[in-house]
Amino acid sequence: MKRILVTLVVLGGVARAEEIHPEIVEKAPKSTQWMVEMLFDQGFFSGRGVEPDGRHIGISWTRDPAVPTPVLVLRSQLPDGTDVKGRSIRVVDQGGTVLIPRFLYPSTPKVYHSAYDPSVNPLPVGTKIGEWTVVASVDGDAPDPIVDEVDPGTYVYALVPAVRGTRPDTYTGFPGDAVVTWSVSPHAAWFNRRRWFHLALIAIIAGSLFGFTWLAKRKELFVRRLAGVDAIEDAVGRSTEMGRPVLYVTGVEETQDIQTIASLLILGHVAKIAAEYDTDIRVANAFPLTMVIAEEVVRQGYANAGRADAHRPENVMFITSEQFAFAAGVNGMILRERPATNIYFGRFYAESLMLAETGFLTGAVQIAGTGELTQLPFFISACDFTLLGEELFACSAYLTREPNQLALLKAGDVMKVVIAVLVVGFTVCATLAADNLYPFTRFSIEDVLP
Amino acid sequence: MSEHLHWSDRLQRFDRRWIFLIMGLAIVVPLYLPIGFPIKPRPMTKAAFNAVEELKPNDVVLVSMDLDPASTAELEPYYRAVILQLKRKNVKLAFTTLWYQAPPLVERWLRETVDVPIAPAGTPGYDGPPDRAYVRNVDYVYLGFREGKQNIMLGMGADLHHVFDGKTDDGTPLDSIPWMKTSRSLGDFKLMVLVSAGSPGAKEYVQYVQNRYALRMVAVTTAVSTTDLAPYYQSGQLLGIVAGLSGSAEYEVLVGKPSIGVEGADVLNAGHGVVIIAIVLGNLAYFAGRRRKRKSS
Amino acid sequence: MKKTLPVAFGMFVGCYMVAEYFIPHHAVRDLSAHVLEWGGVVAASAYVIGGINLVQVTWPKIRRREPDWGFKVVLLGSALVMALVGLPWRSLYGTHEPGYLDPLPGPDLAAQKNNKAIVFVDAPDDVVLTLGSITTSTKHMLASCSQRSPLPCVFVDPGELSLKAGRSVVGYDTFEKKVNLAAGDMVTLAANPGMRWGADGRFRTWIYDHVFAPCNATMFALLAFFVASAAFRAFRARNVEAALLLGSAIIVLLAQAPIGRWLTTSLPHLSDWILDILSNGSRRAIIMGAAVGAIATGLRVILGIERSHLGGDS
Repeated sequence: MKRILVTLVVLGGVARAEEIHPEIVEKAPKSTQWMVEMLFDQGFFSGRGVEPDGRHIGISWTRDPAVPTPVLVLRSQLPDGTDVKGRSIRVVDQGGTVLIPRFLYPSTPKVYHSAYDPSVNPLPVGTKIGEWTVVASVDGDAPDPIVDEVDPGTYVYALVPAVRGTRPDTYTGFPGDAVVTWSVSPHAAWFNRRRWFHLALIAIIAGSLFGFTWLAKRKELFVRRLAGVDAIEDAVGRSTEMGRPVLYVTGVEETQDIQTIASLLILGHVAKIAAEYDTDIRVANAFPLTMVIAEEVVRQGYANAGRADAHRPENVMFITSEQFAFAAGVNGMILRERPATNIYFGRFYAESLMLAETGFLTGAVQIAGTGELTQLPFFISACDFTLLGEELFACSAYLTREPNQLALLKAGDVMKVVIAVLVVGFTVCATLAADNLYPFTRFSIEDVLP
Repeated sequence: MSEHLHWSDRLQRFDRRWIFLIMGLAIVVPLYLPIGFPIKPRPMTKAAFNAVEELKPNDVVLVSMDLDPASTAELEPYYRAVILQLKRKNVKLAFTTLWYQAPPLVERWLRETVDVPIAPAGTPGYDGPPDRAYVRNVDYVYLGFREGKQNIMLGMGADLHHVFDGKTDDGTPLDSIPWMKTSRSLGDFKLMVLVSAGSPGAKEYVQYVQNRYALRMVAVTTAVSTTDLAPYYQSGQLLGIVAGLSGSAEYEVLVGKPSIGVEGADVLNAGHGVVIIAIVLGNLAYFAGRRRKRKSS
Repeated sequence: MKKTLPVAFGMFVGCYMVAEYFIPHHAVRDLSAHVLEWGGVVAASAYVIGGINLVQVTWPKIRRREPDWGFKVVLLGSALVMALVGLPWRSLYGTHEPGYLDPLPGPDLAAQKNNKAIVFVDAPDDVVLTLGSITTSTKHMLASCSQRSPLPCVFVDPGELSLKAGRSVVGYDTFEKKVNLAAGDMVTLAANPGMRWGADGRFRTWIYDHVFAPCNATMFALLAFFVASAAFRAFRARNVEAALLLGSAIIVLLAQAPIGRWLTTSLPHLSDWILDILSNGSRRAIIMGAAVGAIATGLRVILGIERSHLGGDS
């Protein structure tokens, strides 16, 4: 990470004052040392920095000795590539309160410009005065960076100690000299260093995926039994014996929701099983687009079973997008048609208990799977089998046993192990830090993880 | 000869409609015969209250109303209480919603609670500072509804004016309102109040924008979703959570204007009591039946 | 091609959105902002497509008189009614001011002597008028204030006056104007706020408040009964784990209601401990597991490993 440390020593005009007006020497203010830091990037481990998108510049400063005087921060754009060194600058005439043209228009010193009186003309953030734009007004120092959003270009900043007026955004005095920083340009990076950890996690997943894919082609990967998935075939068989249909609900979210996608992936397999058993499958969808995709999936499932002629498109229904109207519609279907098997896979909200309780009343075998944590207890209490969270996503791989899909399942397991190790590790570090054990006291998780 | 059923068998074959009737009575009767158990606010609720109390006059607050009529019973009491608290703090309010079912509800609530005073001076039963009628596009703005869920949250975080085409819902330019001119992204708001019934809502706000823009947020949510949000409160990403109707009742007590939330607390007591009794009875029947079967075998 | 093109496109866009997370360069951010806008447009257009698809799917069922076709008629009818009442019909024939102010030549000497101005009102009885700090209607006004006009009227203080005329129910236009009146001035306020159509129109608001909202709330309220029924039936202490679960459920149930805190102060602490400490770990594990599973499923779709959502075989 690039940082520019600028140390400026601002003399209160002591040397010149000695030559011209010796009697002022005793009254001259002490010199003030400014430690200015310009930031336009972020480090790997530090939270201190700015978004390196080429549009942000951060500026922070401290003064020694510490002075509580407010500081007005101004920004001026320079021609691209200009290289200017930091320096102190006078913004008012000696003892004056009016900003002088030499400061306001530094690039055209020979052209006449009027001065600016900020005691009567407010300077809110965003105001343009001369070649400068007001960026911020800070009471005292800014040890944490002030972040300025700019267009790509080259800029300098002026830090002007100011005395606030009684009206908002007015200033009645400018004690001491101001500081103009080095020229700086925002840096547009191609990699956000602060997200190195996320990239590492993705690399771990990718590495595991390739590794397990290679392994899956050579030997069978073990996946533990999912009782709910194994029960699907038995439940469909039960439906066939009882001469009643299977009801499949794809959830109440839209097609782009990952749980709906997972549900549609499983639907194909359930449709194939239903086709093999010659059982009607009714699919209830909450969005028209989901219905269209579900119909295509079921058609393909029937085709895979060699029963393309048995597929009835009217069995794949769009009920309604409104949550509780959907629940009412599906409940009506359950009570009228009394399916022997109800399968609820996807994202569900408050209607989950309504659907599951109604299905229980009709004596159906119920299999549910959702990633919605808050709805799992309702499904568990009312359904015969419930897939918890990630089991829903593993279902498709479990059913097909395809090497690629199983490899991804295993890669996810590796991810979980990594997360568990990190949780334990960080917990230990945080505990030791809480006990004031060095070097853990220097450790802060926000510095490591964005 | 008729079969004589053991009481445990009779209980296990209990018609559910009796349970529905008892629950119905438990909900309705307390509304007419209130019991009035004292309500003690939880730490989470107090934290949400304090976060709003720390606001200063003319601070700008975003209220995101992501709910539908189904959840008004749990969320409306909190909404009315927090709007009273915000108005008596004289803060500026920006309202928006990400749910397509919400706009008519939001507009009605704005008419009933923001355009008119909720607790003017002399309101019986209220000792706190009075509030006043807020003027639209002067003291508050209604930005309207935008479809896009998390995309809109990200958009608001980057450039709120762009998301709403630079206008309020009634077409007033945002730049013509001084405090909205300087509130260009979520980070410019001192606090966000999330009235959230589900998804998209408080959880998505925390996941997508809270950390990115270091936002201060408090949330009210339905009781069932509280467990989902609790980790975010423990991590400090949410300053406070008001949990369902009981949390709303606590919030009304903290604000000092008991209303429909406190009335609902009695219903809550009775309803929870019925559920507990149902659990106990069910288990009694189960164990008695099991014991009888063991004895007979 | 039917399946290859969508898979390739999905792969490209998916990989780009993942890469975008790591690339802060403003050029990439600007493109991503456009992509997000397109996503919003697509999401909004999905409603249009959904509406068309609804008709495409439902109408054949009605025509063929399939089982439950009557419900389909109600569905389409309701959708049509809401669509029609939600359209801003008035914009077809232009909008007009719902009222106007007509100053009368004056002054009225009697009013001027009493340091008052007069506002005459020409509006139906159900129009609610706000004249400064006075809220009234023509029913409650004076029948006559001056010989200059037979209209109902009210005396107001001179100065800047804010006039507002609207209906007592929502969904109607509102006439608002500010006027400066000196003592003795007379002005006629004529207002007949018309009914609005569209998103904030009368019909749509009425249907929302009196049909949609109560139905929505009713369905959600049914959960209370279902919970009681499920509690009676399913919460059985069949084994040790179930007994522990049951005990925790009773403690948390009691503590969530004010009665729990009234019974004993330990109950809320115990409940918070169960929720925050005991169950929090497993809750977070399920959330993390579901998130990892979602990542895996997303990767499967992005990389084209899983294609059955396109209707193809796996």
